[in-house]
Amino acid sequence: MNKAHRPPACLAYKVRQLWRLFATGMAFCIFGIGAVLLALTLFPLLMVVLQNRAKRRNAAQFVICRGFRLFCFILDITGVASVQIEGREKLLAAKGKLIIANHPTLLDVVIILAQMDRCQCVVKHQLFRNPFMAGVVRAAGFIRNDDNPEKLVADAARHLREGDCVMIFPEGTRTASGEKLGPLQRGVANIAITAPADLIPVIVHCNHDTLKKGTPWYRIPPSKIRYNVRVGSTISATGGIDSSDVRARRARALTAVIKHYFCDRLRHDHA
Amino acid sequence: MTVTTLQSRQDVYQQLHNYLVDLFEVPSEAISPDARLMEDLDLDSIDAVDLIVKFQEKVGKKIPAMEFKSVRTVDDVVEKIHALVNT
Repeated sequence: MNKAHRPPACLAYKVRQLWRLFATGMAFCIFGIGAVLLALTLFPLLMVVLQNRAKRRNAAQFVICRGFRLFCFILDITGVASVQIEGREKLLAAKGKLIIANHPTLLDVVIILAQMDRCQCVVKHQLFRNPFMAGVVRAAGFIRNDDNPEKLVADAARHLREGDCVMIFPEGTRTASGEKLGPLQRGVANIAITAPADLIPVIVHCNHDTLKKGTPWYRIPPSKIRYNVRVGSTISATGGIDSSDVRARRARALTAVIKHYFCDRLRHDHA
Repeated sequence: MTVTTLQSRQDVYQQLHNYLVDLFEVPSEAISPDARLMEDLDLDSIDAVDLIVKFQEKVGKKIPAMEFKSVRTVDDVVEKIHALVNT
């Protein structure tokens, strides 16, 4: 570090670092408080104004996407994190598609939904009991990942057939530190085949190892977090797979296609 | 539908072996009585449902999914199916 020989730069670095630590903490607070405020104000209001459950759910999903967009803007202007996205128009135009992404960090879902107007999600069941997030995930009618597996697949498939996009991480959880891609669950393939619905892959790359599984929020990286998010071309749920085959084998074949797709694109990634 | 009796435990084991290889692409050499379905043979909960359906068709009897809640290994499946067939 030749910067150590230049005290002014060093001081500037320390000030910046301290600011980013403060801003990161603030961001976590804003996220939690924002979620609770929505759950206490706007979402109950939706209950009164919109009698139709589907409309209410859609409105809540729209608010969430815009909220995430605002949050990403705050992260950017405070110097915590910035997002560069390629192929966003594919997400905006998507209808009835499964949105799948690798899951390196805590913010992946926030960043991806921020690019969209509305999206259904499969979320981890703990969020339904999380005091900050429960109101939000319930209002949006998000799908619990601990549901009866048959029901989970059927519900997600129904939303897809109705034209909603459904966001899901095939790894089921964040990628372990030091790995490019965790083992893939076959739920995604089962949903895609059942609907049937094609998949839009999103490749998330983050320049820092921060916000990974098991890293506390205050361990901030030495520079601004930079996300590079690439939206890929549609993967067919049925392409090249014998449709007369049994479900278990088709799900395995499609999962292999998905795995190959992500491994191929993450291989040259040096995070 | 061909309803087979699957009389002996060996019959059940052989049938399960065939299902695992044919439907779930499990390598034959990985299958043993002690092999755990999820961890060792890479089955998931949806596969478990499909497996139960297959055995239902085979034995011509309704198999309550609840019966399979406690199933962990190949031998557990053989035990359950064998008991159900012979009641």
